[in-house]
Amino acid sequence: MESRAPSDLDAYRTILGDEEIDSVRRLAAPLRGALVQHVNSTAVGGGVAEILGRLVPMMRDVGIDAHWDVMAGDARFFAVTKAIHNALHGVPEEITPSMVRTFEEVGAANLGLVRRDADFAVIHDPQPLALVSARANGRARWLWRCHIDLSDADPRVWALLRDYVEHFDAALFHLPDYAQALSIPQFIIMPAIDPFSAKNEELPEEEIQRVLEGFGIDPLRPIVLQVSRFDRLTDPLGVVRAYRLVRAWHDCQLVLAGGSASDDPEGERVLAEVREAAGSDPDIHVLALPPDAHRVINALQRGATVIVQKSLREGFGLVVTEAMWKGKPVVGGAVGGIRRQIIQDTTGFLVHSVEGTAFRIRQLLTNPGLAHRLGEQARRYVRGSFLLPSYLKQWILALLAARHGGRGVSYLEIP
Amino acid sequence: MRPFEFHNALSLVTHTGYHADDLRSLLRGIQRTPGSSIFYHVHHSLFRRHFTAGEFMNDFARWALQSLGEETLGERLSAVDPWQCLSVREARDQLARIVTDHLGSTEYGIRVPAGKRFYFSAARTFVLPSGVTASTLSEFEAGVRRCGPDAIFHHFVTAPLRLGRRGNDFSTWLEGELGETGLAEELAALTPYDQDLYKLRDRIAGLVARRL
Repeated sequence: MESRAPSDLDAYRTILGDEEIDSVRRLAAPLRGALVQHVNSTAVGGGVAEILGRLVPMMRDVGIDAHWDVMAGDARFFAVTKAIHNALHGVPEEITPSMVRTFEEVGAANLGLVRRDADFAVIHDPQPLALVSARANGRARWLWRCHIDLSDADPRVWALLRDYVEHFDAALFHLPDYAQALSIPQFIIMPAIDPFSAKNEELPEEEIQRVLEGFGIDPLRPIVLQVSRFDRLTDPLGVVRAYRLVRAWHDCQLVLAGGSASDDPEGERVLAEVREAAGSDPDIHVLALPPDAHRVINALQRGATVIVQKSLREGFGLVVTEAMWKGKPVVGGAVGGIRRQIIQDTTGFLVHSVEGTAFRIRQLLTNPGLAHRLGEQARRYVRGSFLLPSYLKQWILALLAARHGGRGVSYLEIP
Repeated sequence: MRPFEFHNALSLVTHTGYHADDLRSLLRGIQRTPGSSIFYHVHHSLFRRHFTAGEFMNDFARWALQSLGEETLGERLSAVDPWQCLSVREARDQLARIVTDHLGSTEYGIRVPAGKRFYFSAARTFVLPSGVTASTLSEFEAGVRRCGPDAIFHHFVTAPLRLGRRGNDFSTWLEGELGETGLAEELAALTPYDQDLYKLRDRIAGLVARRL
């Protein structure tokens, strides 16, 4: 079955109701015909290209003249931006004066990309930051959308980028934790999921059963699931330890599903350690899946009894949003965006240790009513805040805020 | 007779630059952050649209309980009732007084790591007509049923700040334009803080339908 993934906002009426969709359309009315140019550095692959592929058609659907352009760069430029990316994530990197020159030169070579007739120029991530030099040529308001966790950024590298960012009208971050000391307004727009994508669409019960049985998982016994890449920060070994504590009390199975780690030496090591920790326990299923196994992951999540995301560090954690959307009770590490999604005792449980994880899993396995209540509330929370139409609404608000400036409350007339 | 025009209030979260990692920086932030930030954190549960009935709690209380482990302070902060505050200044003063008193009675407090900081956010709100109007009670009932949480938030939650007294736009219109004093009083007695905005809408519509 094909994923539906519509660009038409009206397709979401069945999920969000008419009043919500009408509200977004009316909000966009003051921006009807406004030319919004998004610029990033890659047309395919990666989360930014994926989200632009969804956002731009939806903006057009509500009457905004949205465009998406990709800057050009050579291998040398992308080696520099990769080093910058790593440094912003806190990885030690040396950014030399010659690397800075490359960054500036490639930016200058792309200035022709910037449309003079744009009302808004939206630059995604650090790669095209130098394009802001072109702002004097047009009338556009300039917004910088940072998709990176800057909470542990190398201050020297950030200082370099800040000189560009300060020339924008506003900066947009995923979480308040990523915001920086800047003189321009900073907006917080959390990411969202598409309920119609292969990762999230409804699946027939038979397909869920087939996927579970295909991996030797018993659909009739409780299933504890963590979906994550195999690395230290998602702590799969901690999840195995938590599972063993739970097993002393409950019959259950553990499924650890993540991307195949063939191109990541550390990932391979962690995967091997997880397999070793699992030993010969037939109720631990370690699944290294291909990157496009979206429907399989979807089926595993829908078949799970409790979903765990025991991260030690996390960005926003969209995998938690996906689990919550499926009405599952989630036990998540109290870090990054997981803290923004899980409201303790209301939409799930936040934990700080292996023991805490085990305790909460036990609590949920013992109390199906509690598990159901948390799952239902989690689904309602995601429906109200973390689906694509909400994301579009936040973007429209950001454009309006950039246009009008000010703070507090403004009254708008519908043209 | 002036028809009632339903408006939606939609908000973008902004970063104020203030953050707290212990009691003293929490107090400093409460005293200095813009009023729109106090309003946002006191009403965050409503901005989130959903919360469990009876579990309304402001962000300051939640942070004190869950991140600082300050249970007494958290309980005291959770008792700050936005319904009793007719201005943001009043809410700010109450919050600051509670934290100040607690600071005076405690010998030491912890400082949390960066990942558990409290970030003072604020709301940048745009209010716009929803396109729905009402001139009669039955049109009003239909309008309430069509309204989303963004309209309920505007007419019920932010109304006291605009009116400068406890009340809401619905009651003001029902009493002033339709002479529906009893119904206006019934609606005025509803608090937006013991249920989410969807349930509040249904209760309002139910009361109007009963009157019809």
